[in-house]
Amino acid sequence: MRIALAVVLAAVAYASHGWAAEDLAKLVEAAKKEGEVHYIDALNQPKTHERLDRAFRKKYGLPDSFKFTHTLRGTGEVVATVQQEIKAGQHTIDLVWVGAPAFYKAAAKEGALLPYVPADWKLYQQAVARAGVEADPPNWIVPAAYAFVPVWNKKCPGFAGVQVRSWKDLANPAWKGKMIIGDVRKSFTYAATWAGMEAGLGKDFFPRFVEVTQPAIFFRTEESLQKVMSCEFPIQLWQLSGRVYQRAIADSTLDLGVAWPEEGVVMLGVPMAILKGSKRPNAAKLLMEFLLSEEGMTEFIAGEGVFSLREGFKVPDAVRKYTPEMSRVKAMPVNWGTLTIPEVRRIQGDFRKILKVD
Amino acid sequence: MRARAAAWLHAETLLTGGGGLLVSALVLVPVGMLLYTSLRVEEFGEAAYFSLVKYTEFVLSPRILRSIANTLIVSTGATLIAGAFGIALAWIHARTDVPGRRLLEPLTLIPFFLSPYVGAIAWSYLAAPRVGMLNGWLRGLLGLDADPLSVYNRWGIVWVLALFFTPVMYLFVVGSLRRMDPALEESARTSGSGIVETARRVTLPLVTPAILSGAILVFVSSAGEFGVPLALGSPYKIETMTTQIYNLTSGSAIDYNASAALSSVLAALTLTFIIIHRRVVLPRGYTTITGKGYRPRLVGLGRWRWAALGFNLFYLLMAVILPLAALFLVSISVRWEGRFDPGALTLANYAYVFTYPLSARAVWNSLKLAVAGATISMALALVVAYAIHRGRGRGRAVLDLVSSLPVGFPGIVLAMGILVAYIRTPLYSTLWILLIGYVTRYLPYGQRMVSAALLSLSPELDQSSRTSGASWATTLWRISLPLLKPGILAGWLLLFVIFLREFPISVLLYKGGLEVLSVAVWYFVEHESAVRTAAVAMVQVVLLLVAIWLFRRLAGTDELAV
Repeated sequence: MRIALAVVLAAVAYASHGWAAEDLAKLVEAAKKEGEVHYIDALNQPKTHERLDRAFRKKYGLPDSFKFTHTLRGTGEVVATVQQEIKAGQHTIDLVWVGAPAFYKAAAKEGALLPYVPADWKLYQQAVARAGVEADPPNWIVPAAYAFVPVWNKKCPGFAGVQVRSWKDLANPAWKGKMIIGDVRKSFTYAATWAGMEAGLGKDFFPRFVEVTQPAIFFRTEESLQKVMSCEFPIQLWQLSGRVYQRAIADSTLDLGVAWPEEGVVMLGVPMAILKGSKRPNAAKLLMEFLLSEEGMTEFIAGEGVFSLREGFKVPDAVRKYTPEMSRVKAMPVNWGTLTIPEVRRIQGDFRKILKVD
Repeated sequence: MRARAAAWLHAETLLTGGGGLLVSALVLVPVGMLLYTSLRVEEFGEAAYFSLVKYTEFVLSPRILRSIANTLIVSTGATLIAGAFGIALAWIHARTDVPGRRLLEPLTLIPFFLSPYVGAIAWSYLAAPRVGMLNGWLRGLLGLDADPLSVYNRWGIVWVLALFFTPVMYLFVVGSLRRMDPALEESARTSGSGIVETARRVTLPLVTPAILSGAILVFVSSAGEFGVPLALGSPYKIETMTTQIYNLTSGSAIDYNASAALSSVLAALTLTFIIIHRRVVLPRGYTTITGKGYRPRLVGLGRWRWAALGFNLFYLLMAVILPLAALFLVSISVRWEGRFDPGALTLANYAYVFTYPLSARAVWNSLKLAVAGATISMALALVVAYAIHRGRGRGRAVLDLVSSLPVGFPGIVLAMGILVAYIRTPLYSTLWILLIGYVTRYLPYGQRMVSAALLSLSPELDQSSRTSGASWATTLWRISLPLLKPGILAGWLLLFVIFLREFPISVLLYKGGLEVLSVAVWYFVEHESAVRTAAVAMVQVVLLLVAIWLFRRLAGTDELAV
């Protein structure tokens, strides 16, 4: 009995360390032989990728000849691209990192994901549970999260003294024609945010908000933030606090307001997985190890300003100004189990109806 | 039997037959796959099956019907305005003593070569509510509280489309006017008719076939245009068929089958108009329109020639000067907040564009594809044109039809077909798939150039050479090709310019690392600041203007005449 228990405990210990975790040195050598890794995501700006590139090469002694490629597309486009490659059996992408749990579930069901758990995953499990985001190791893990929050440009006429304490403050008739809403039709993360806010604020929130503000619809957070910065649309319902942080770092004359409404925000985990058809599985595993490591997470958060789910991670002061400690953020509950692809399509249908858009 | 085999192995047969087969495959494979995909239902993680549901439920759904209606509205509007501009400008240049004609004519054609997508971006800098330059200027000038202009609506889409497709109408009508025997007009004026009455009752009816041809082509081009509604419509609740096709391949609810079904409907719409053009409009003969050129007596407009000049300058202001100025001013600004600040200028945006790997790569990829694509296209165009106009094979009429089919397919539709056709092949995710898209879509343009040049050559030249003992290959190399060189060169340059600015095929088929210039512009719109977007757009504009200048120097405007 004791022997059986020891075996079970050893197995659990091995599994929790990473049942697919291998000797790191062997993994580095195997990755070097493969010579390249390509990941796709919807978040990392080019500057962030440059930071990751430098740190990745330094940590594992990767040669200059090792290609570290990154593709940045919108959430929906990432899913579309990866699905396309899975269907076609053509894999140029090794690792996918995007806030679309419904896609990962479908992909796991299809057997399209390579099971792998990096060594440091054990340091993320508690925060993942607290944040209420979904993960399904060894198929896919979630090292980071973000939330969409209201953002406005204080330098635009009429916006100097704006304060937003509640989501309901945004249904302000003075902001008619000056508001941006994210394009739920094109994004899982906007759809999930819509679902969470509907559940938390009531089904009449969005119809009233849309009726009062008549918002324009933009998809990319960078593009919509440009519109806010130019005062073309001085305020937006959903923006990443990390984008504001990035702009503030680049231009200290900007004066953008960020709100964390009292009802809470929808915490969106950003899952990560390796594709089973990847031609460079070892390089992909090494990349996953790196992104979850202290060094990788430091560069990622310093670049993107989102939430790290690594226990004990120290958030840089410059980031904390825009993205508070996770412990200080109230999370609106989302029933991730029900957010299947058909459910997302239903939400998108509601969006179309309420926004009167095709 | 041996004689027959020898005939098949003849160089001419091999080359023209092989070329014909290749072109047919290039065109028919994606068209066939598009139809096939439209009849399937393929959900991720589920078994696929055949069904008409994408037509019966999706295409006929209210939101898609609205996008079809929007497509028809903007296409019709663009055709009417481009028609008005194009006919008026053609008459002014071909028939009147407007001052500066020699300079005005090439300037009028500039929009033909520029990217409508970049034009839409430029017009957003000019006429966006709150931050458009023209709005700011007009508010100050007229003391207005509200913005008088907004480009983010159907009218904005119609306006930009019309500006960029006016040269198409212009080329059709000016060519027709120049080939028209002026005797009828001179008789009318001698009989006492004024300028306007002569134009209305004599000139216009005579150029009606050219006007109809231009109108059909403008309508089809507008219906298939993707970049302008993407920039000015989609974020503001106005979807057209092309933006819906794109949404279905790139959003979170991707549905290739629905996209293929909608693509097939759009292709059917545009092909219908092309067929009407070929069957109804082209065969209409007007004996006063001949192959000869004429030098008609120019109409003296008197004081009205300054109004005519003003009208031409107004078009140039709207289509060329204002958009390019807006792009330039934004591109040298530190940040864009709707006002140009002469105290905050920088070239850092250009430095960023030239050092940022994606945009630097995009310039290189665009040049590679433009050179390779133009070369391959003209080689195929020569082979196909020769097969059609000089060949003896029985499939000439079929080849003529198949090789001109792509004109009826909007770029995004053909790209959809190419994507589903080649997604499981090694060509996927390479520059080759882009090259295939470019060559397939724009081959008819090159073929038209070569055909026009070939038809102007008497077949007696070939016959004399063959009679003297030269082989077919020697005749082609030493007699035909040198005489066809101007047409081939003109076609090459035209295609080079078109490939440099190509957008719908590129945005659908590119993958990371394979960006081209138009994709770089779109990427910057989505991920970068307005000032950097303007800088990369200016880089594309400058490259295109250089190419246009080369085109005019080496080929001349007449090569664009229709």
